[in-house]
Amino acid sequence: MAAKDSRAVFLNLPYDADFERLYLAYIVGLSALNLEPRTAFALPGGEQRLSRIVALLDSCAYSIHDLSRVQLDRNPPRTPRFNMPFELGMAVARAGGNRKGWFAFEASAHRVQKSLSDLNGVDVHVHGGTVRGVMSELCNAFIANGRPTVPDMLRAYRGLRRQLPGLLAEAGTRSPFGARIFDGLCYAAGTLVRQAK
Amino acid sequence: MESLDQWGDRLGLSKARRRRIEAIMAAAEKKPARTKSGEPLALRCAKKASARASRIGRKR
Repeated sequence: MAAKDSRAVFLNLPYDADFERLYLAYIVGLSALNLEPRTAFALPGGEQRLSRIVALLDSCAYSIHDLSRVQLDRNPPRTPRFNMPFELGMAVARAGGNRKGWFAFEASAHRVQKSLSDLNGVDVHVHGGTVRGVMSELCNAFIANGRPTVPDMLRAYRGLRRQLPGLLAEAGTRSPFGARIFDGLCYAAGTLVRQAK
Repeated sequence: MESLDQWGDRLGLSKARRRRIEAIMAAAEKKPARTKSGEPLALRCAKKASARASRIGRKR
């Protein structure tokens, strides 16, 4: 197994338009905590994808699994998203069943006790579906990484939202969910959190 | 916290791309145009349009 990068965080989130605000909040929050967000965007589909996700989990010291998307989608056949709990299961297995290194985030309090009762007894970070909630819970999860303030993070977040159209144009895309734009967002977030301090 | 250069190295971004992103960010944060007296241009235009509207209104 390759050595884990002590500052890398694997972000396991629902990548859709409804989640855009919180996706940007995670990027800004982790950058402010001096951690490097990593995603599975650059990974190809199919069989190789799973082994690459395992490699990504192995290379990151931490992983965040947002279990907010448990509801059915609108398109038939109406289906919940299983990727996030599936990858959480992989992370727990890689940690040997220990609680070290992985964090479960949720929008609603107590819902995970119903949707994933195996996690009973584990502290789930409830962000309430808000940007402030995500930032506040990131500060609680990564308590050892200094204490940037949530208002500083929010200032940087508002800056990143203002910058989003330009950054999308630079990456040649309309969606913020992609490998190239993700790098740009991380760099811009790093710039803004340094200005916000 | 590490420097911005170190952060860019960590993300594996080329220097050229960093400069491009910084230029985009600087352009987006550019202050709005102002008149010689320091008044925001957009405000000045709005005032003039409002004054003109009320002048036309008086003539009627």
